[in-house]
Amino acid sequence: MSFLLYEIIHIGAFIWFVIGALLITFLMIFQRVNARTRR
Amino acid sequence: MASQLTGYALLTVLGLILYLIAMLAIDKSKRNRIQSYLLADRRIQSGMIASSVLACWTWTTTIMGAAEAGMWYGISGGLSYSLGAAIPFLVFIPLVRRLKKIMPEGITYTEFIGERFGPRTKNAYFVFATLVVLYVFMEQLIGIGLVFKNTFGVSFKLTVLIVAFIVISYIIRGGICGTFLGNVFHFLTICLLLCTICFILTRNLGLHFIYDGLLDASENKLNPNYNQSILMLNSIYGMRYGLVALVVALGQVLLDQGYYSIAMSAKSTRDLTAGFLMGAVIFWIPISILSASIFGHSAIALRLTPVQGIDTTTEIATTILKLYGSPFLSILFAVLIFSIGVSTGGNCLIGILSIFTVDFYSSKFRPDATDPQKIRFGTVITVCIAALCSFIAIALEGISLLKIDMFSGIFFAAPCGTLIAGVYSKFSNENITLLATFLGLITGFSTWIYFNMSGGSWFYGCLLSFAVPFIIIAAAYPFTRQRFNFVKLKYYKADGSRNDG
Repeated sequence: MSFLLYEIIHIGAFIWFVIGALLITFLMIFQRVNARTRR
Repeated sequence: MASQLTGYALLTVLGLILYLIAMLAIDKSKRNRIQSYLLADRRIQSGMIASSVLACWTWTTTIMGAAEAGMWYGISGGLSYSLGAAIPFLVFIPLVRRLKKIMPEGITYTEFIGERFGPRTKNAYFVFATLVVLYVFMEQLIGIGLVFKNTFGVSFKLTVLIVAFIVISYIIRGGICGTFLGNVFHFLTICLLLCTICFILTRNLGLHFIYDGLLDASENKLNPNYNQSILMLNSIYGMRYGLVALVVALGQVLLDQGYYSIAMSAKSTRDLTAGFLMGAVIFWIPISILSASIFGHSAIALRLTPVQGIDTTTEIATTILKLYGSPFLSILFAVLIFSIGVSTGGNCLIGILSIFTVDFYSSKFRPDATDPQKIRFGTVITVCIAALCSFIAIALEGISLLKIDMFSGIFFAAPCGTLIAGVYSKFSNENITLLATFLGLITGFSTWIYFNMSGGSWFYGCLLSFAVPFIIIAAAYPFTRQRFNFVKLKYYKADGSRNDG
């Protein structure tokens, strides 16, 4: 395995995790706000 | 090393925050209703399910175990660990969706087993459900205790007792609503701290340094971690490890009522599916890949071995943080492990609270018990189980958990086959079901013990323990006449007043 591929796996996993964390956080906020508005 | 006072102060502050969250999560009036206390009125949406599942499925062993896998098997170790631990949810999601469809009023999987096979199988599953909680909660307590002891120099025993007290008090106070809100706190903590630790360690060590260390370990025979396949994506040993991780994780997912409780609290099956897919599969996978690479591969690059530099491979993370982090980073890591362990432990306890509240009391003692009586009974039993876990964890201080992990892997694989067969097939002979489960256990353990309890025999023991019940049920199916009618489960009520239609 080349260094480039190793770098892609490591940095890719980091970015993937950050995107996931942000997405789940925004989804929670959106659903909470949406539920309050409907009430 | 940070001071002992910092360690105890940190535990107190985190415990108070969690208790406050649990107090805000549920009204006092709702605490006496099972639907609110244990199911959050079935109103939880995908975002909160995802955050909760991500926090719960991230174990102390996700960080330490993935680091070990990364050290033993290189690149393929981390990838195999993450796939092996995530794939069981691809089995769990359709299974729990079907369970919700065929038994809409069901809350626990032991209720399903009881209705589906009979009281003896249900009793056996009560034992499995309790033991899986003992095992999982105990592991989290040991993980937190070790990290706090190494970081702050605090007493391992006292830390274990304090953490068990924190978990039980906020779970009992807030029920599943408290667990969900607590898990949001844990989710945010895990995401923030894991990103910070990974970023700082990668910057301090350098990816080039780690890669060069791996390259040396794959080529240089004098390297203490020499392994030709360390840089291979498709190493056969890594794949084999992934397969065992899959079977072990399947047992932990399918027998832990906590995940069923989360699923049953979902507003709709769409929320359930989306939440579990995001939290346990898609966005969970990078956590173990990062742990394997940042801790496991760094250990190889630093030429650490169980003989040189570290006592056991489970100490990789704390050792690297001491060498390449700062005391502040070590404190952040301790908070990270606290959040990881407490969320997982809390999920186990809410599961066992559900089983003993909803199912056990009414089926064994008083079928006409009211909700407050059932909740009181479930609470007492859950407190006792949490206390037992903390005492076992204290007793196991300094003892390698490897044999317990191996035992649990084989032990929890056998009932999975029966559970899956029960959900999807109409086979309903209780004697053969019990026989299949116990033959699975016997075959698995015999294989493991006969071949001197080695890693290889454990691999085959796990696979046999999982496969034998399936094979026996499939072979017996054409020769038995009884077939189960799933329609009657539609009319099942958790209070025992089943209407057979």
